[in-house]
This record gives sequence, structure tokens and C-alpha cells, in this order.
Amino acid sequence: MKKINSIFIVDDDPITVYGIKKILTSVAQCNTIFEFKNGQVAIDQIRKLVLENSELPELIFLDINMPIMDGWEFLEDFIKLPIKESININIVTSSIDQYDKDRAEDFKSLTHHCIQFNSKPIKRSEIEEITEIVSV
Amino acid sequence: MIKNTPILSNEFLIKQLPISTVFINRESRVVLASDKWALDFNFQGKDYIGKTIYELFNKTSDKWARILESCFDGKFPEPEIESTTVPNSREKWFEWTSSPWYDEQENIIGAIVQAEDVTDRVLTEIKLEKLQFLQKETTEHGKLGTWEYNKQQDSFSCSQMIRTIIEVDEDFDLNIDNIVEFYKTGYSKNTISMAIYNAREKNIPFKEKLQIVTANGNEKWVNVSGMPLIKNGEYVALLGIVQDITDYVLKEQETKDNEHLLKTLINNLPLQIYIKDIQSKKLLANKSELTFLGLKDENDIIGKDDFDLYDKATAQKFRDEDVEVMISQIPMLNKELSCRNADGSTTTFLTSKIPLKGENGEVNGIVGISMDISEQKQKEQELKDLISVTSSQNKKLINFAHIVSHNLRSHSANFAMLLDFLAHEKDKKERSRIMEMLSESSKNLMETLHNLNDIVAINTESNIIKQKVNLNTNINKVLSKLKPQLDKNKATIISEISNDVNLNVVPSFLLNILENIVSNAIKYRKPQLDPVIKFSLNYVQNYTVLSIEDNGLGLDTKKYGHKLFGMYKTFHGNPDAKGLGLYITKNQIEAMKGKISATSKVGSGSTFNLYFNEKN
Repeated sequence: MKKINSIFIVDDDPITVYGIKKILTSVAQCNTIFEFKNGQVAIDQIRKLVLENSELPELIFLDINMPIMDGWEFLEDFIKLPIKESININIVTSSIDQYDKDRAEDFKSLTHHCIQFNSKPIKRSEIEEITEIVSV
Repeated sequence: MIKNTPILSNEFLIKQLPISTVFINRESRVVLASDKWALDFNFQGKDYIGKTIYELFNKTSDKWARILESCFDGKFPEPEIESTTVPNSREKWFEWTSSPWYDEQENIIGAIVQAEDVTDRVLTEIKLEKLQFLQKETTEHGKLGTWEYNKQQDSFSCSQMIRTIIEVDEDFDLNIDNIVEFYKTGYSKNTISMAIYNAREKNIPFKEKLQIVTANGNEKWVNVSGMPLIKNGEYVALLGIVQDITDYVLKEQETKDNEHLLKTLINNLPLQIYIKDIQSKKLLANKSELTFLGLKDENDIIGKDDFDLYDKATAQKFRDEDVEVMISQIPMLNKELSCRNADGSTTTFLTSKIPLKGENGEVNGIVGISMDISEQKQKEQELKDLISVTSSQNKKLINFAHIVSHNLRSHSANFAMLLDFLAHEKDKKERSRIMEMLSESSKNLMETLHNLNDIVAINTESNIIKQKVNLNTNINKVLSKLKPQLDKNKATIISEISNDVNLNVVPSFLLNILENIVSNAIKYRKPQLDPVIKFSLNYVQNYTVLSIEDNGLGLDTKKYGHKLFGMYKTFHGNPDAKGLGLYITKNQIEAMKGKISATSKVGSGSTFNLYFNEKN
């Protein structure tokens, strides 16, 4: 089984969070999974980790539509942070809007982090692929 | 006496000859002369005998030498006419006749020269020549032909020009009767026949402008006049003058046609057209211009300037433009001008002013062309408004569709995922947990559909029936409904609204809006501060503005302002927040043709301004 140290799930919908966690634990060995209700609490935590020079998450699942700070606002702030390693960010959204896909592409071109766009519901095979990339 | 000159016994007779005569010897000297000669040439009382003819006439001309020489040779030279200027007298013309002078032995001893004063004859001839020349030129240039009918001889004669006009050659036999046949049948022929008859029978002269048809079938216009000649009270002849005025008439007609065309065009163009002189006084104004100025007759405007027609400021503006165009000689094209009418409305023109130049390039006025584009302007504005409304509606619709699709999709995605888990899950406990989540999801979906339905209902035209309601009554209704929460949080309500304020609203919308904002103020209060909610009223343009101010958390309007009234946007992480309240509020107030705005700062409360449209 693959091993992933730290995973962040940023989503305000508890069912989605439950689903992602359930699949993740069945395809990989995850040491710690952190949940965040919106972008603001997630980015605050990441800032803190950067400041403390602590271990950053290897994988982030990011919802777009969230209160307080949405997924796009989170990405805007995130790519500005001084992080050397490439973090895998998986956008998981119920949107199938081309505009949102284009926006994800725009972010991709602006950063060295690995950004991927996934539509809900996320499938087991997709999460398997994602964990494969991360654990390599 | 002079040597070698025979003495003339009849000298006495010669002196009395009634004709100017001079006897000249072979040395060209005067031997004898008649007194008339001395008189004619002003030699009276002067010593002219024995002097040469050249000395006397101060002439050195070879011609005289030749004439005398030929006389001395026994020849008779042709008479010569010469003008002589005699001192103290006008120019005179003399005909000189020279002949040889013989003595008794038939020897030529000199020349006899006679001078006849032909001044009158010469002057008459010159005058006649001039007249003939003038007549020829006049008839040719003026295409004037003359004819004459002699009654006694019953003869008819005419000038060449008559034949040219009626296009017949010299062989054609014209007479007083058939000349009438060349006039156009109808008015022209009747008129000329009558005129000639009256001239011959009643001695009445005539002058008419008539049409003829030439021998070649061409139609021409002529001025024809006739004058009966009367001798001793009796009609003897009839003189006629015919002038071909076709070119003139046609040109005149063409000019008239052009003028008529231009006038018709100018008057019927949907543009205001005028011409002003250098002082900006109107010289011409078309119908549109008159109608615009409320005038009927062109004479009411001719000679007037803009100061007579517009208020001073407008007139000065127009005058300045006129002067600018006239000085620069550069046309002013399609300039938009607005002028205020007496009734307060504004008329917008598209005006062009073009300098009017004379033959030598000097400016002597301007041509103005104005088009009233007020209607287009208004349409343009209406269109802009419509586009703005449409685009905002469109934006709303897209936003709504987006939200709907997003929300429904997120629920259906959850269903799909949970059902997939359920199919593979064997653990009983886990299965019942999934089932729980499924039923929760289904409840959420129902609620979402319910909310969406509410929003659709707000925008349904038939639900928007406004009526006058008292504002305070409605505020109180909401406050009593929210009393438990208000009391629980020790909220203070301050209202500056007097009891007589009524609003034209959809009553249920008003209640909903007030409830939403007041409960938001409680929901987002500051943890350590008792909430204070203040109501105040203002009037801005067509709106009655109700402001609701709180001392709550506030929010960063720079960051979230554009999302504040969006659907499913919440900003404070409050678990009660559904992100729907303000979206519905905004929809409701906009459905009543009003608007909503908010001012807020993090930590210092928020103010919501509700603009109620009282007119529409």
C-alpha cells in the first residue's frame, strides 16, 4: 500500500469530505488527514506550517464553492507562498463549467504546483491515480 | 504780279466765282483764287497770292505734288476728299477737283483746283455707315429680323434674319398672309392674326411674345412687334420686328425649373435649412426651419438674426459659430448642439454650417443645415437603458442558472457517490451511516429546490402588486416577530421614522426584507457588544431610502462587496448562514424596481440602504 504522510481536504460539504476520506483510506495508507471548512482556515494553517518550517501536506483536495474564502481565493494566496516543493492540488467541484476549467488551467500556468481539475462525484480510480503520483 | 504768268483780264470775274477755286502755276504758286476759297480756308485779308500751295496748307504731302504734276501733264486726276482743320473752325471735309490750266494757245500753264465743302455729306455718310453697322450687329446678335408691308404696292419685304428665324431660304416667297402661318396653331396664331388685323384696320401697334414653328418644324419663341405707318392720316405700310428669344426663354425656363426644383427640395427635406448673411441675418429659411421656430411665413424670418429668435446665451453661441466659420472658411460639420426650449425640454440638433462664398472667394454668409435628433437621442438613451436592463437581467439569469446547476449537481454528485459506496459496503454499521447521509442529502436537496422556487416566485411579474403600506407598522410587525431573538441578545432599536411614512411596495416583500436585515444584524453581532439597530429615512432622487445601521461585525466590502448579495455566499463562518437571505432581499427589492446597497467596515458595523422606487 502507498503511503502518504499528510493530506488536506478543504470542503464545506461533510458528505464529500466523508467520501474522499473513505476512498483515500482504502487505496493508500494515510498518516494524517486534515479537514478544513473553507479556504481561510486552510490557508491560515498552511501559512503557519510555512512559518514554522513544518512539514507541508503532500496532497490537497480543494472545493471551489465555499463560504468566507472560496477555492479560487485560496489558490491565489497559496501560489504566493514561498513553498519550494511542488504540492499536488486537486480541485474537486460540482461545477462542470468550462469557465472554471479554464480558470484552473490559468492557475496551472502561474505556478510550479501541480493543479488538477476534477468534477464531483470523485471516483475511486481518480483517487488511485492521484495517490500513485504523490507516493512516487 | 508774278513773272511768266499771263495776266488775266477776267481776274475780277474769277474772284467772284461762287465755288472755291484756286489757280496754281507750274511752280505750285497761287496765281488767283476766288474769294470763296479765301473764306473757306481762312485766308481772308492775308497775302496768299504768289505763295506755294504747300506753304499755305502747311503740307508736304506727295499726293498733292502728284496731283498737280498730273494736271501739268494735261491729265484730270480723280477728285480727292480730304479733311482740313481750319483754325477757329470745326473739322471740314473738302472734295478737291483738279484740272489743267490752259492759256489761249492751249499751253498748260498750271492747274485749276476747286474745293467743295462736303462736310455735311461726309458726316452723313459716316453716320449712315455707323447706323448700318450697328443695325447689322444688332440684328445679328439680337436675332432681330424686320419686315415691311407696303399697302399701296401690296408688297412684302423682309430682312435676311426673318428668313433665318423661320428657317426658309431666299427663294421662298414670303408675304403678309403666309408669314402668319409660321405661328404656332392656337394662341400664337390667333394673337398675331388679330394683331395684324388691328394694325391694318385700326392703326393699333402691337408687341407680343409668341411661339412659332419654323419651316423645319422647330418650335421657337419670338418677340414680335408691329407698327403701322401713317401718312397724312392714312395707313400706308406696316413695319414688323421679329426677335428670336428662344435661347433666352429656354434659359429662363430652365432657371425657373431649377429654382422650383431647388425650392421644392429644400422645403421638403426633413432638415432645417437656412442661409444667413455676413451679419447672421437670415436670407432664406425652409419650411422645416419655419415650423421649428413656430413661424408660418418666410417673410417673418427674413432679415432677423438669432437674437430675435433665441435666448441671448443660445443666440450668442450660434453667432460665435457663424463668425468662426466665416472667418476660417472651414465648414463646421455635424456638430451636436443642445438648446433648451421654453417648456424646459431640450432639443438636440446635428448642425452643419458651411461658408457661402461669392464669385471672388469672399465669404458673404453661411448655409446652415440642422437636423433635430432629439428623438434619436431619446431612443438611443432608451436603447442604452434597455441594454443595461437586459444585460443585468441576463447576468442575473446566468448567475441563477449557474447556481441552480451547481447546487443540483453537488447534491446529485453526493447521491451518486453514496450509492456507489452503499453497493460495495458490507459493514452493517457503515451501511446505516451511509443511509443516514443519503437521507440528509435528500433533505438538503428538497430545501434547495424550495429556496430556488422562492426566488423564481419573486421574479414572477404577476406576484408584484404594489400597494401603499405604513412603514412603521411593518417595522413593528417584524420586530415583534423577532422579539425572542432581540430580547435574548439585548438588542436596542432606534427609529427616526415618523408614523406618517408610507411606502409603495409589495407588502410581503417588505416584511421579508426587513426581517432578513434585522435578523442578519443579530446573527452577525459583535460577541461582546449588545446589538444596536438604527432605522432612518432619506429621499434621493426618485427613491425613498430606508437605512438600517448596526454595530455588528461588519465586513470588508472591498473584498466581499461584489459577493454580498450573491447566492450561497456567507462570510462569517456562522453555522446558521445559508447564503441565501441577502440574495432573496436583493431580488425582492429589484423586483419592486428599487435597489440595495451596503456600506461596512470590518469591526465597525454595517449599513444597508434600501432604495424604494415610489414612481414605478
